[in-house]
Parts: sequence; structure tokens; C-alpha cells
Amino acid sequence: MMKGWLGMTNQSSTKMKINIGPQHPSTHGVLRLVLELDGEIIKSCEPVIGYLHRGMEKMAENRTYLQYLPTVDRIDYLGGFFDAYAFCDAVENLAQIELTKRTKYIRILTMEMNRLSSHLLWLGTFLLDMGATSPLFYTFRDREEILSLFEELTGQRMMYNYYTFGGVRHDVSNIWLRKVAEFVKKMPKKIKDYENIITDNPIFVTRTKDIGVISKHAALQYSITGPNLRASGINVDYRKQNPYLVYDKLDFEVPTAENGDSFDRYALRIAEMRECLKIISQCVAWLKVNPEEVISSVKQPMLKVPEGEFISNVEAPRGVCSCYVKSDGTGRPYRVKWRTGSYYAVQILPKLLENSIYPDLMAIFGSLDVILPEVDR
Amino acid sequence: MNFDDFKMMNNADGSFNKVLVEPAELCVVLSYLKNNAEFAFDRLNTIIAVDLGVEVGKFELIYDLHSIETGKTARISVIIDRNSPHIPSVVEIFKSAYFDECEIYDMFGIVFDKNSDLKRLLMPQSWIGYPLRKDYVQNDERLAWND
Repeated sequence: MMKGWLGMTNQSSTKMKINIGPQHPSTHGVLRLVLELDGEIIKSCEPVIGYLHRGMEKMAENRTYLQYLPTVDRIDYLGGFFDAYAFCDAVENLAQIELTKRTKYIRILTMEMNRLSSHLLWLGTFLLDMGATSPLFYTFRDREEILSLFEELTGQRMMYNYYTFGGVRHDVSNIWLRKVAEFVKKMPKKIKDYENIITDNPIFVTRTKDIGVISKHAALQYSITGPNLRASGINVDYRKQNPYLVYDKLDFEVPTAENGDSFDRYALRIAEMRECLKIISQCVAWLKVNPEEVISSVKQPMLKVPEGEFISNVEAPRGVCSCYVKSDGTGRPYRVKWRTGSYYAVQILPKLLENSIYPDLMAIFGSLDVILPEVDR
Repeated sequence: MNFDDFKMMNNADGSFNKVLVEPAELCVVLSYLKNNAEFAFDRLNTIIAVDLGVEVGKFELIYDLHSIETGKTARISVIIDRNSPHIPSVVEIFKSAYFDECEIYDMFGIVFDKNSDLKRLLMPQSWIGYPLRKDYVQNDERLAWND
């Protein structure tokens, strides 16, 4: 007779159904997983979503474009700038609003800082999920500096409401830019510190290597995007492939990994943080010497968007964020649809978790960087 | 089916082009676009459903495809009748479509034939009505919860 896990015979094993979440500290919000366990082995997993559904798409139909704009930051509260940009970009394309070059650089600067803060939070909580407490404090210390900079610029730490149609709300000052430059200067050493703690840590490596492998084929089948896709060895980045704003004028690399396991997803995000710093410092250098108007001349509350439809794709920290806007020529959107990266990362979970052991659950789920407000919208 | 329209399609300049396809042809077109090396649209970005209004009496479904290699996008538009909203499921071709189809069923009441496990995804299972339809009565929660 075959011996199963922990020496239990197959005959005596009974399947057990357990619920994880919706209120669970390491599900990053309100994800509920219905697991079927055989001893410690996960036999099947069913994600149940919708606990954080706020009807973002229905809300849009009852509000003017300006009234809807502050709410889109809440779709992904760790990457508010990306959602705001996706919506602004769609509306600007429909209404044929031109951006000044300085506006484009400010948007890139804020988005990349946002990506960095989002990855920092992910790094801390991912390690926390796996039982390592101290990295959380280090990453939150550095994230706090970015949030303070954002607070100084926009008045908000997380939901910024900073972009407007055709511009941004305030210009960046040279003093603020100097603070950003100082922050960028000391960050590489901090990232090195994280790597010293984490990358060669034998416990971390054994828990993440060859765990939760997403093959190239599966990644495409399940429409996985962003860092999770690049960790599987597919080099796709909308910033390079279909450059928006002025990404084509900036010098940066798109890191990729090969195996598509949890460790690669970690290593890739660390590499992406370094690229963020590169982009930020280029933007700061450009903004220091090129003053220009950034306040939009468009009359925002009365904005009427001509009939048409548009879909804008943005490379957000958790994958491609697409915003579809259809206008019927009035002051309110006819239909808004959001496509976010986490939504599809949740969908691949059952496949990744099948026949893995229970302690791997957080090593897999955490590495996907799922955030639930983005899933439920 | 003439595929020249897809060859000409270029959405890089900020335009929104789509090709109209009959519901019966949808699966054939999608698998051709996915497997033919000339197109290689190997990722389904999303499915967008739009209610065109009670007077028009139609739903529109837009399948947004992306080619990993070339970075091109293709959009397929399918128009179906509002009174008997049925459309073939594409889960067999793109697995990612499962959540999309469930969400569209949840929000619009469009039934995807051959999708074996179609259910409400975001709203509670007992919810009455389809929220993103244009004739949906909002703030009618009492009715929806006390069935």
C-alpha cells in the first residue's frame, strides 16, 4: 500500500473542506478561498470574490466625468495613479485633449514612484505572509518616504486625485524635485540591503524556488500580465511595446526571469524597482530645466466628450490596466469597463494550488501580488 | 470570413477599430486568429459588454485581443439580441475568458452557451436583476435581498 503524506495510508485519508477568508490577515483584503484538503495536500481550490464590489462601472454611468475621476483611485488603492491615468487617457483621447510635455513627465514621475511604493509594500507583506517580520518594517520605512513626498505634492497619502483631464492639479516645485532626487540617491543601497536579507536566505529560497510555477503557455491562456508574465520569461511591457506618454524617450530595461516560480517573481520585482529609480531620476533631471504650463485649460465640470469609444492600456504594478470608455456625447460616460491584472491572477490560483501543500499557499498567493479592490472593483 | 480587415487593423495611433463578426462565427474566428502564425493574437485581454439601450434592443460584446510578439491589438465586435441574449462561450480557446463570461452574465444576464459553470461572480448569488443593464432600477435593495 502506498504511503501518503505524514505516513498516512491512502485508505484512511479523508478530504476536508475549509474556508480561508474573507477576513484573513494574509489575503490582502477580502479574498475567500474554499479549499479541499487531503491531509496537508490541497486537492482543489475555489476563489470566491465579490466581497469588495463597489459597482465602479455602474457608478460611472450616474456621474459626470469629473465626479467620477476621484473614485477611480480606489480601484487599486496601492497604485492610484495608474487607474487615474488610464481613465484620463481614455477621456483625453476621446475629447482630443493635448497634453504638454511637462505634464507627461510629471505623470511618468508620479506613476513610477507609485510603482516603487507598491512593490515595496508587496515585498514587505509577502515576506510577512511567509513568517519573516523584519522586512516589513524596512520596506514600510522606505515606502513612508514616498508617501510623504506624495502627501506634500497632492495632499493625500494614497488616493491622490492629482490628475485632471489635460493636466495635473499642481506643478511640481524644484524643492520637491530635490527631495525626490535625494530619495532616489539613497534607495539603491536600501534595495541592496533587502537583497542581502532575503535573496540568499536559505529558508526563503527553499520555500519559493520551484513553487507555484506558471508556464509560458498557462500565462498566456490565463491572460496573466505584468511582472507575473515577465517572470515566466515573456518579455512584454506596454511601456516598451506600445509606448504611451514619453516612455519611448526614456532609457530603461524590462527585466525578465525564466522559471516563473515564486522566487522569480520576487527577483523580477526587485529588478523592476531599480528600473523605476532610473526612470525617476531621468524625469527629475528633465523637469528641473523645462518649465511649462501643466494646469489644464479644459473646463472640467462641464466637460462634454464627443461620441466614440476608446480603450487605454497602462502597465500597472500588477499587470495591464485597461480602461474602456464609451461616450454618447453627453457629460456622463455611457459605459466604463475596467480590466485589471489581479483579476486574472486570482483566476489562475486553482491551477497553481492543485496538489501543492497547504504551507505553500501563501508562498504562491503572496507572490502573485493580488490586491482585492482591483479584483472586485 | 475575410481576414483582411484584421491585417489592416492598427490601433496604435489612438483609434478604436473593430471588426463585426456574427455570433455563430465567433469561435472559428477567434481560434483562427490565435493559431494562425500570421496573426498570433495569443492573449485575450478582456471581454467588454455594452448595453446599447432598450430602444435598440441589442447587446454588444467586444473581444479585445493582444499579440504578445507584435504588440498589435485586434477587436472583434459581436452584436446579439437583447431579448434572447445567447452567445457561444470561448473558454475552450482562452481559459481567461471564464471570469469575464461569469461577470458579464452577472451584470448583463447574457448566457454563454457551453460554459459549463456559469454563475454570478461579483454580486451575491441571490441577487435579482442585472445591474449594468440600462433599464435596471437602482437602490432597489430591499427587493433584491428579501426574496
